[in-house]
Amino acid sequence: MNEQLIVEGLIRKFRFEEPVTPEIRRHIASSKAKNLKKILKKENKYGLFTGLAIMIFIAARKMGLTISFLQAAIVSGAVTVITAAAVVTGGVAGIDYVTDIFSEKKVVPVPEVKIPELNSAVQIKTPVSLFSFTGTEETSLIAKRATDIFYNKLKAERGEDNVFLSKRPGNKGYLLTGSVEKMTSGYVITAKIIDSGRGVILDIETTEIKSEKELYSGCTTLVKKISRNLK
Amino acid sequence: MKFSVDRGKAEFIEVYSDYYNVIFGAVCSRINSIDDAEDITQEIFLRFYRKMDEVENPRKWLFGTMKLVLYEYYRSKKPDSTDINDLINDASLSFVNGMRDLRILLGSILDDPDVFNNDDKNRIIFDLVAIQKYTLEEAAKEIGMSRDQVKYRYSLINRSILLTLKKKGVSNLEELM
Repeated sequence: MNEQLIVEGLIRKFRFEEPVTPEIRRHIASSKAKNLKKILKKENKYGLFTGLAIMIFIAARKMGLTISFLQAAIVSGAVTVITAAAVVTGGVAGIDYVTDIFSEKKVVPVPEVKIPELNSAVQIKTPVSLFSFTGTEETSLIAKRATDIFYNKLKAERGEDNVFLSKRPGNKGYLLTGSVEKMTSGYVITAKIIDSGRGVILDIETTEIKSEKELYSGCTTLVKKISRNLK
Repeated sequence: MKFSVDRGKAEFIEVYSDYYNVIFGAVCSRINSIDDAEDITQEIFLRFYRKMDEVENPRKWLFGTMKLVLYEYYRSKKPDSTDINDLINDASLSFVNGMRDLRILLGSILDDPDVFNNDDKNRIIFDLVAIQKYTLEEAAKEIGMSRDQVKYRYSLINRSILLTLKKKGVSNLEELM
């Protein structure tokens, strides 16, 4: 007789048998995880991670896999980390996607670039055509000297290539004309700057000097005043 | 979130998973209410969790505690009963003379770990399949083995029981049937 049948026969005959009906077996199987959770909760030993590990452990057993609970815990830890990473990555990507779709594109203003003041020698400036200063007969010599001082000072201020001695008006740049008049107690120097393109007087400056000795300082002062109003 | 698992809890979960069906089934065969059986099973494992560090043989401890919890259960249900032990009766009492001796012998063989190759899983397979009449597939699912593994182990257990019986002088087994 088959060994299995003999043993089972003995078990039955000597009343070791305690058969459990299929309905109860199903109930037992389905209550296993639930009651384990209850026990661990009573002992304050149940958490989300433990729950996940138990789920994996029991599922693996039902598939016929022999794994320890610690192995199930490691698997559940890895699953948790991977899931969390995927959720975070997906969430960030989703938010970016939604943001891109629904948000208006912001107009980024062009940053204002402050160009530092350059040395006058290299700064691009509007050219100035300097006309000889006029004067009466007795001031013609001083007017000529005033013209030379203006010429040299303007070249220093605006660069050599931007200042021209001229006899007839051009179409571009500024025109600088001036005069030296003899007064009872000195001289009056006048300088006038004109935008030749627009035909507009931009500035007129005057200064008084008591003698020819002050001509240089007077002309220098005027050049500075005029230069402030020029581009 | 805490990702650590203490070793005690892991051991408990493994013992619980191995013995839950066996204990629940054994309790069911002793009382009529499945709900009460479930509560009693929970109580047994709760006590096991609290005493786990002192337990050397989980199977013996769980069955011993099962008797104790059932005793308490009967006391709560039938406080006037004079002999509660009658309710958790010993089946061997129903046998007489030589047959009773044979039953006691068979019982001692089934309690001998050597017969099961000192492997708790083998004893659980025997409990589920031979005692509680689980199918091989059902037993395999509950203990985390394939059906073939369970079948193989079960055949080895049966052979071991029969060999032990023969060693003890019981040879004409088929006549006993």
